[in-house]
Amino acid sequence: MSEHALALERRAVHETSNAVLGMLLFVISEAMFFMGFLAVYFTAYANAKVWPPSGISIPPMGLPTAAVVVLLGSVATMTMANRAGRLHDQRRVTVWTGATLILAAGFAGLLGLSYRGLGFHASTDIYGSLFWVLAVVAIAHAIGGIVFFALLLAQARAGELQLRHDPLQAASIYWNFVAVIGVSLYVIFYLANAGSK
Amino acid sequence: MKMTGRTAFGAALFFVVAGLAYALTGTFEGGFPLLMVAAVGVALLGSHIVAAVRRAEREIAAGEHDEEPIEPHVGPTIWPLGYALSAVGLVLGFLVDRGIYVAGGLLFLAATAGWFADVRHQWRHAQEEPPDPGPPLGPDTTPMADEGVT
Amino acid sequence: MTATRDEVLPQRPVSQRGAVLEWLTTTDHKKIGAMYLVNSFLFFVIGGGLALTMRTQLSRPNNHVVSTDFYDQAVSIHGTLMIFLVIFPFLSGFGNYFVPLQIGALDMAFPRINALSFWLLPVGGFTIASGFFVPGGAAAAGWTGYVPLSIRQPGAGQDLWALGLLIVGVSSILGAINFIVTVLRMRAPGMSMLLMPIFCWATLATSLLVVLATPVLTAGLMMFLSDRNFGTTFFDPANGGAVSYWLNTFWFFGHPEVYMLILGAWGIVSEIIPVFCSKPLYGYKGVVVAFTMIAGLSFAVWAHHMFTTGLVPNLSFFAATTELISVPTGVLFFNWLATMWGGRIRFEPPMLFALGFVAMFLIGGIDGVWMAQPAMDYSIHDTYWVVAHIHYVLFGGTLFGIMAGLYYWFPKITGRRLNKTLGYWHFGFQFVGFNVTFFPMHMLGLQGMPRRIAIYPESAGWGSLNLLATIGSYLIGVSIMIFVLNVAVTMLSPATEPADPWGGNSLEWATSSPPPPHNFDELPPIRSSRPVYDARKALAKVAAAPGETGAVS
Repeated sequence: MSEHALALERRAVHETSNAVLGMLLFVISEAMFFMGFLAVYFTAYANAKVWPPSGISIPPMGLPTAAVVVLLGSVATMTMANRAGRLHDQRRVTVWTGATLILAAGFAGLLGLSYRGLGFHASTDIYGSLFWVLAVVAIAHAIGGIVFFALLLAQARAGELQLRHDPLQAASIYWNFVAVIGVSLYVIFYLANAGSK
Repeated sequence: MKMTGRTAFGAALFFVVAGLAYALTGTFEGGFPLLMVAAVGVALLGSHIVAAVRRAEREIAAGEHDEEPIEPHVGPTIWPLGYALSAVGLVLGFLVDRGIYVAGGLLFLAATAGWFADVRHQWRHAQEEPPDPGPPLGPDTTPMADEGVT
Repeated sequence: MTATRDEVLPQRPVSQRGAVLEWLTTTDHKKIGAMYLVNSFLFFVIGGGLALTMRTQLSRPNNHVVSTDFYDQAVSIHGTLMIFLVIFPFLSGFGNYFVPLQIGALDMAFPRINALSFWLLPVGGFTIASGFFVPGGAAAAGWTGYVPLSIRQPGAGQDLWALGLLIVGVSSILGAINFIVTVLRMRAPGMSMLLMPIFCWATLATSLLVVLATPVLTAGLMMFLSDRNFGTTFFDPANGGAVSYWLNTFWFFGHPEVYMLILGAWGIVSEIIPVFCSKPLYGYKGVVVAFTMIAGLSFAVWAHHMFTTGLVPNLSFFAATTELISVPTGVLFFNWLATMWGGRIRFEPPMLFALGFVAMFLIGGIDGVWMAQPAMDYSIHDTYWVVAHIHYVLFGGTLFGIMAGLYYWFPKITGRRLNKTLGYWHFGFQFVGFNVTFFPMHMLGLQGMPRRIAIYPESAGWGSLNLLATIGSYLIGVSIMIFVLNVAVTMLSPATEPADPWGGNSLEWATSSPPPPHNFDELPPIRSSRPVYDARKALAKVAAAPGETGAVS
């Protein structure tokens, strides 16, 4: 390799970071994990005569819609925190990370509330099984995010994110992924089936 | 790295083609979206790498100084074992007594806190002291054209 | 150039308790790699014991050495442990120890996560094996856990199987992320991707497969556990579920899984053959392309495990992709042969095992080519032909490759070379024993002997071939005992091996045996895919012409 090519290689490596690349790969693996469940959903849907199956009624949309709106808000605040991190603005990082933490907790809370009083259980047909298992997994990922933001906030307040903003970028990648999952589940389980009550 | 990024895009294209071929000929309808998500994932990896290469090209052209990133030293720590033992709590809780779930859960939380404390300590240390330069290179580091050993 | 070590390494001045704590808390990739290898060998002995039990039961018709119930548990746990706790972690262990060394790095990208990946393994493995000690016994539905049998099996054994696999799955996904980031970001200056040792490429390809496929198994296992414990109906046809959901989910993972089990061994053998033929690997780029193509294609063949279920109307698509995957695999064989052609072959134990790998994997691969034809597969699916195939590729293939790697890298890890004579005896018994065990299974498969049966009648006429196979399995047992003896005898001798006992090519041979904690005192220049070979040649040139002051080239 020429000297220029080697220098470019070295520089390109420096433009990435272990934390960010690692989080990207983790998110890819998590996407395949969620897809494992959704693959079963799509197959069941494609082969069903009636969808959702009888005995399943679509829950009211109010709380889930509010949850998704709050989720998208938290994505916006996380993006702002990431941007502030790149500009080394510790105060803004702290403020935006704190806002993300609050909104993420709000999202998880609204999501949890929306699962109360549903007409079907995990044992009510495969629809119920998929809905509930995905609900548990989604909440778990939201809680993981909340813990991540709390740890980031502690670091931000102590000024430890002054020189490195990888953790913020990694958190942003993770939370964007959770948002994609959240919106997808909302579309699949609420919007797409809304016509069939 | 550029080649790696391009290979990732090639792999993504392959998954798209395989997924379409499967969708047209298969009965497990879930197979198509699975392959599509694999394609998107690998394409994301490719675009991340290619973006890094492009930023590097821009910076070299602009003559910007290259900073060696800080690679902190990671010392011995008990917390990975702590996480593994909390998984034991999960298994024993299932087998023996639900109370053990609680013990496993507490150990999980302790390991999370301990691990995080390790990470903070390691970065504080790295930022205060000069970074590890890595092993020194041999006597002659002038890059040469490939010997043709392929 | 690092000086060679001729003196005995100093003893560790650490207390007993301090030494234990050191291993429990280590984040050093070399220690973790060594623990991977030891853990894998431990589970190999357990899995092997189960195999010998099965072979003893099958040695005669109408035999009653063990109950059919226990036999089912043995076959299931044998398969599960060998695949997830032996073969894959052996390859991960070599990867852990040698990928950072081969790329000239200080450690893996995420040392703590590396430790976590390791510690989850014994936890997962013992969870799976603990099924033997609970009421109802261990999982007994095969390593593939087919529903509805596995959902309906009472007792905790099947749950422990799924829980253990979940834990092991997390371990391998974290490890894979670690390898990919390490290989992409932590190569020494001058080492472009196409100058990287081929073993690192194999590890990279394996890791990509793990990241994309293993999470799908994780999802399947969660559905499995929730059907067994929380009343869900994923796999219950009476309530909207389907058996095919498990089949497809499992095999979407299952096929890339078998490539995860072989790629590392291809990498090891591709390192060893060039060294013991004193020639560079022929067609390095072709091998890299082959690895990449096989990794990609492995996602497009999974239904060939389901040809006879009636669930696959497009048999020809999967038959075509499966046959296609034999093309890049064939390329590998030609590369190895071309490397050996015209080389000065040294028949040391690592090379013997590598050659054994090439020959045995060829047979196993061709077995697969037969099964890829649905017309043929309808006759031999679920017969002993399949057992022959899987063992020719996993044992004749990967395990021979692992043994080659153990003999090759033992001096680097411990500073001692395994005894050559015992190595030849080990190889002889293992090669003969392996073929005597598994070759007759081709015939048994063609004669219609089904898999996973504990008892067969006299009238079937399978007795003599089974007896032959059992004798072979005992020979394999003897070979492993010879290996253990070899390790014991070697570890009692002083550690005097130099940095480069074999005349190696890659960077792990540029540091002492074993390496210091920081891996390298000094790196040779990296200008080709064989930096240590280049440095050796340069040194020889300087030594041959001491009066001249010509530039080292």
